[in-house]
Amino acid sequence: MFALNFNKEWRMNKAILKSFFTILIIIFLTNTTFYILLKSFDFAFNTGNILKAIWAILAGLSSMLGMILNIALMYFLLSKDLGKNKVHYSIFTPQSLLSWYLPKLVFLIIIQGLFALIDLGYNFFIFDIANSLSGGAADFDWKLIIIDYFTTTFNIGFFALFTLCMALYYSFRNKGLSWLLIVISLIIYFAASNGYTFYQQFQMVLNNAIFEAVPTLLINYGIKNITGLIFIVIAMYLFDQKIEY
Amino acid sequence: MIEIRHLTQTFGNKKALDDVNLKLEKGGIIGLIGPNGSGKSTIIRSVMGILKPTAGEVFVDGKKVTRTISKRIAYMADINELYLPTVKDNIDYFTNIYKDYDKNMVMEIINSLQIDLNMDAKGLSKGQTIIIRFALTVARDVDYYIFDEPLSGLDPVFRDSFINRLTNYRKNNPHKTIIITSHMLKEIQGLLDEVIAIYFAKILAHDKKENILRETDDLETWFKEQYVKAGITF
Repeated sequence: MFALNFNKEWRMNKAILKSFFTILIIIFLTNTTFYILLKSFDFAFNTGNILKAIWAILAGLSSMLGMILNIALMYFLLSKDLGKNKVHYSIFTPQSLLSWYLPKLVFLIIIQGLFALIDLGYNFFIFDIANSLSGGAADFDWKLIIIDYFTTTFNIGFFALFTLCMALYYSFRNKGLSWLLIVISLIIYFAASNGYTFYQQFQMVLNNAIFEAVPTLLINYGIKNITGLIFIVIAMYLFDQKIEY
Repeated sequence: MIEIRHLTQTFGNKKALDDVNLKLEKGGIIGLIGPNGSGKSTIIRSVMGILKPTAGEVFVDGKKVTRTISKRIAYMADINELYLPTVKDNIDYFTNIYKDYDKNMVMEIINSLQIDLNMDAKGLSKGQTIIIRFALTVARDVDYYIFDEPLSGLDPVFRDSFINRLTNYRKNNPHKTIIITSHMLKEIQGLLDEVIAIYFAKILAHDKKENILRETDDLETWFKEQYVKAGITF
């Protein structure tokens, strides 16, 4: 059943996934081109800086694009199954909800992972160029970068929030109640996912506390994903109980 | 047997079904007839476990329905569920969800339409869509088949095609129970064995067609008589 749903997700979203892969290849080639240019040619100081600035802007834009495209992908993966006219056959079949859910997560993780890899690649290229200019003095925190890569790739929090919002929307005849619960879910998710950061800010200002980067990443990841898992359980319960369409 | 006990469905302040009681024995074609918005689809969705009753219960062969009832009832909804890109994608997907499909039968019916299976499902005509969905419904090996408003919006050619196909299917499978909802009484009259008349949330009458036609000329006349008996005026 998983394979069946995986195939279905691919068939339904083939066009968008192909265009995402094309965008990823273009971004990768752009980064590689800048890297090879800056590494291979001895540009004048100003020209080199201008190239690096343009590259930094492009990398920033591609990172932002990655976030936007991830959100778009989440929307397409869910809305194609949960639109008003689709909810019946996507949910009310004997297939398990988990087998319905997992292929969507797999596609999301692949795309998130590739965009995170692009970011990681950019950071490495920049480090390598800086290192060759400074004669090996640049510091590249591999541990932090890799943890950041994995926590970005395997983050299901926002996708879970999306699913819960759709489940809430289709679970109540009273749409006012649906929207109220959606707003409450959004507040809970953003409070949970930013709560630790706010706590750190207060501690830093009030007590001059210092926080390590790795535990901060891991704690934020844990909070987002535990909240996400709870949301997924609630969403699956709602799908299983009653959907109004 | 499908048994509905004191079923009430409310949507906000509106009662879509009001204390509905029905017993549908196995075998034959049962017509659930009534005007648009009378509650036919709400009854069907309640039987399919899609709508949880506000009050009352629905049983199929003695078991209370849940959403997994679709394992035992083949259901052609009043919405187009062919939402995957090509015709073939849809056939593959649905015939793999349920283990009871006769895939040869599906293909036999669909091949009669002479369409390219790789064509975009959105490019199908309404009639072609209905026949494909008909194939995906009747090719399942279950005891119950439900068709919710299959004739709605069909042109006369495909309407006749659908009715002929269902008539033939019934001839070859006399022990199966088929429920069909429609407001097109003249068109489905020949198909039915049993008729349930519903009018705005309530069951007006429920009888065998042979009994009905002993007293009146056709279903439409009988249906109007039920209005009058219930004190409904226009």
